Amino acid sequence: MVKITDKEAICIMVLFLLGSSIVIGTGIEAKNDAWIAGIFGLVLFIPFAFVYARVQSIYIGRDLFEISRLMFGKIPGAVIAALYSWYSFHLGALVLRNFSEFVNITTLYNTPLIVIILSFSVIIIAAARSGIEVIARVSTYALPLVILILIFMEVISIKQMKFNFIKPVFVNGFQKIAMAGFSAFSFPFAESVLFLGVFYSLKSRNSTYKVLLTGTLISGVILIMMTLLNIFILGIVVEDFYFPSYSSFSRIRLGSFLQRMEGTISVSYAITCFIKTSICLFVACKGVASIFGLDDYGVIAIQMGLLMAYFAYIVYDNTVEMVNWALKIYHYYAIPFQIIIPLIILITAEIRNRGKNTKGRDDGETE
Amino acid sequence: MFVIVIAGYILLGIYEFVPLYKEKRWKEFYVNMVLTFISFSLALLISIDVKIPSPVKPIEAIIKTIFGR
Repeated sequence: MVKITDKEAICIMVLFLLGSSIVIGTGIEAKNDAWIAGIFGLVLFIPFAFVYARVQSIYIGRDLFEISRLMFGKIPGAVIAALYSWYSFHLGALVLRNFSEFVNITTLYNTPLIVIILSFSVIIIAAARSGIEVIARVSTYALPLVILILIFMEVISIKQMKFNFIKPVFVNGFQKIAMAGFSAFSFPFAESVLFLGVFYSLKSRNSTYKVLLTGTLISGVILIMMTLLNIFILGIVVEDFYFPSYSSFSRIRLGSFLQRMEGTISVSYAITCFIKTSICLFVACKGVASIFGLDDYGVIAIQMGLLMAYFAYIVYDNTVEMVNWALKIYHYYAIPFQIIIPLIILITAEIRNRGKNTKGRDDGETE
Repeated sequence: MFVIVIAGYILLGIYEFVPLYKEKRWKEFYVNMVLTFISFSLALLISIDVKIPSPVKPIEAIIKTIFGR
């Protein structure tokens, strides 16, 4: 069986969480208080990280779909598996669409969207088909590159930053910041619920807590730093940009020597999106394979990937609709997948586990 | 455009289905067949510029009625 180390898992997790939020930003509805919203979202997510990790540590070596089948029986388990396959498939399509829109708006103006989506989906399919180990190895090489790019850009942009843009702090009111924080919670932090479909392949037995918490903290810090950078450079108009990080990076210049550095963020965006979409496709394929009882998920990867690409193409009519969905609808849509079903799974698992442990004590075995 | 789609799917079919057929993995074969059928129809519709309604719109409508936004 394919195994990944903790370090590789953390790398995938960080890149996955940076995903599209590296360019769209987190909680930007709160304008210059977006960074507070980011911290709020991160803090809100920590208990849920424990929920996800606890579920995985009760059923070590099993993925989300197996867990739900073991706990709820064949048909309800298949329904949950179908729901998560859909969520994963949909999320992958949204990220793919976000990235393709980004490329279409910033670089390849006259290329039809479907061409960009299809060419990107080819490498995603290849990655998902090769399996989690390959994605993990790519991540270990890609993560230092992404972090170096971001740190370098943050350092050279210090001269452009206007630190008074952050004031007045808390001007948007607690309610708005809390709402933006909730939106930061659901996009991107709680999307890591999909890792319940990946962590079965962890080498060491009880490292889910470590991986989830470290991954979330590293990506949270990076995201909050990016949000702060956007606020310092763009000011309160940060909400008006479709891709704030791209706009702020294009303003960075160091004399006449270093300027128009927005290509760097495009590279980081491409890498993180690639990892995020391949994980989504991987989990979706795993889910469909488990529903139909297939031994190998790889055989359906090509068709699922193509379906994801077409879905990404038809899901929105234009960019405005995309941003509207991402900022206004998505966090409500994700509540059942990120909060309700994991909590139900955890409660059922705890009850079953307790029953098993008391029974197991008599037989001299523990789960 | 749709000629390219048909040609592409024929090649893909040979690449995917022949090994499955030879190894007699029927479950994989049929699941893949259904997925291929759906994706082929979508590809054909996209290639002849038919506007396919987005499946996200009903979800959006439900969320708006529940949360009133």
